[in-house]
Amino acid sequence: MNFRKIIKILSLIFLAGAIAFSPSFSVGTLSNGKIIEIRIEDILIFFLGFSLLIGFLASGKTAVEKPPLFFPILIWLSAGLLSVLTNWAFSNLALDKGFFYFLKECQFFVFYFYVFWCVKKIDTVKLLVNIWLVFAFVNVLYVLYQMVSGFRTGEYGTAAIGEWGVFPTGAFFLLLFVFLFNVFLYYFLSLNISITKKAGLGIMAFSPVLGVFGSASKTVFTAWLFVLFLTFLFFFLRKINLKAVLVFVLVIVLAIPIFSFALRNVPDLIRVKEIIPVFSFRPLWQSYLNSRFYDAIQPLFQASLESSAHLPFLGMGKGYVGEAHNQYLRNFIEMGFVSSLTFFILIFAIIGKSWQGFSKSRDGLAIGLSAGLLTATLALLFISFATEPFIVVKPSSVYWFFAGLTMAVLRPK
Amino acid sequence: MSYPEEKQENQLKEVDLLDVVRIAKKRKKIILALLLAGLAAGVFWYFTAPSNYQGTIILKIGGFDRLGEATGKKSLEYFENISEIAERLRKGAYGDYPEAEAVNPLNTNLIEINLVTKSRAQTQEILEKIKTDVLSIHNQKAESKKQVIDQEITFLKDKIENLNEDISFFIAKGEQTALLKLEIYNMEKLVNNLEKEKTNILMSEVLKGPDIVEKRPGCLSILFAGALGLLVGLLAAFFTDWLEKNRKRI
Repeated sequence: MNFRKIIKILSLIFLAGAIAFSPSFSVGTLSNGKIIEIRIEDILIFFLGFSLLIGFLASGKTAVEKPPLFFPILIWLSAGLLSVLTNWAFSNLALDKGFFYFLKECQFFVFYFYVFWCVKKIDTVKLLVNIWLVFAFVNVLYVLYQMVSGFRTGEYGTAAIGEWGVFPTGAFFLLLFVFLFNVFLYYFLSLNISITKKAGLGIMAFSPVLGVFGSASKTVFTAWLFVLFLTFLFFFLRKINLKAVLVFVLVIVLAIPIFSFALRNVPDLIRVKEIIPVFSFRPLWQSYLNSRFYDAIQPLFQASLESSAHLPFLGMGKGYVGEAHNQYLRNFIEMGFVSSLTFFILIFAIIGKSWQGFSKSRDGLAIGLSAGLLTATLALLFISFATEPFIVVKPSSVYWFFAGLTMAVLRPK
Repeated sequence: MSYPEEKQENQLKEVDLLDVVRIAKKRKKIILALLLAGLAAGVFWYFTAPSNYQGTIILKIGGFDRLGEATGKKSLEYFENISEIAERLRKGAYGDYPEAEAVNPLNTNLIEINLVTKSRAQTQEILEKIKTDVLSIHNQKAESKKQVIDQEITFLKDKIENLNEDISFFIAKGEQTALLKLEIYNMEKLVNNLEKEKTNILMSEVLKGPDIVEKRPGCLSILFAGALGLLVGLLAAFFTDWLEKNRKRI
């Protein structure tokens, strides 16, 4: 392996480390008083992306490998830029707000492109998955420490390293669980290794569940139930045998004591008890209506329609909305009806690619990552009814990092 | 694989920057036309856009000045949580002003309220109303706090008077009064503290404004309109090229 390749792999490891552990630093405030926070991965990806560009230009090449989702991403970003420029031209949107919100969104795609272009071999993917397994486990140990010591650092419950917010923590662990557990189901489980090693890997892949429970987020907990349903639905679609059923039973058996342990040690986790649907979805639906729909989503939607006549066509620009509690509503207000449809073009492209990878691949790792990406995307769409997961930094960084890995594995040989 | 097929396969897998430049060059008329259209629209907007009126008002949020029991340090208990005032403004606690934006500069007890409307009078009226509403609520809180303190002071003073009468009675009987005097001393100290607390109540007040500024599109609007035209031009150029290449397949 030459020096350049080692540097590329190291940069990916640093990037994963920064996403997993970096705290945020305040660097100023926007005109609406919102604090601008940056993380180590923001600085890192700027330099890495820049060096990749310089390297490409210096090489004298003119063509670059086209990553999957290239056009849907381009369309989504163009629609975003169109809405920002239009509203800047009409002086509807503050310069700083539009700039930083749009930049943040671009950054997620830079993560995706960077990972895709740097990962050329399946061994690199395996290495990165193993590293993520370790990084996730270290975060889980930190959560465990908070539970046992009673020294909690999260908004409601426990927090991931360098994080505080309830949703960023919960969704970060949820996405790690989705990707790592799917890789475990389709890849680690079928490896020719001892049962002890498999059990160890299984525990590590399943462990982010503790972070999900510890965050005490109602939204993330509901999404976790949805994720569990999807994961096993896809798993049974692919392999229906005694081993698969056993794993399913084991997961349920494992999840119950973990939940009761978290419930004993995180007092705020009591919040999720009210929405656990035992025989009916009514409590969950009522909770959504009371805490999200009537209080935030409906008034914001009405206020937006009243505030601007051109909203349905052009939108009010990226960063116009403070907190919409609904990704679809945010897209609609910021980009208008027509442009917000490009979000679905991107989402359907991701779902299509991951379904293709899931149903047609023969390699366990490719199937696991594809199933993970498919489940994660559907989970984020589900969460999007209650919050805006696609703009929350920590989970989005994990999502696009793994999307890059998945597409690199699915790359035609 | 025949050569044309191979070429098509490569086209699907790679993005050639030279191709991008070539298409942009080939369709430069579309790009230029839309760039100019954008710039023209920007200039038109610059001269004809209706004025907006941005009003700003800065309020200093008051509260009760208190000595911490454990630390002995002074701390201010605000009439209202400053960071939550913005949220309450949005939700209409002070009237229905969804467009009003409130900012709390870091580590200050100030709140800056901004509002943009189409008329100067409307901006002025709304900001005045917000100001009156916020201040009247805070003043009410301050008044009721003062009343509570006054009641406590009156109660303590009555008690001191009674104790003084008791002292005169005990002195006449030749009994000890030291403990009663100590109690009076403590009560007088409490009265002093309460009076200090009363004078230390920091009233909420207007620090600045409402200042109304007429807002018209700046030169940047023309630039952004040009950039918008360029972006639309590029998209149109690539779309036309794609359409031409795939006409047969469509």
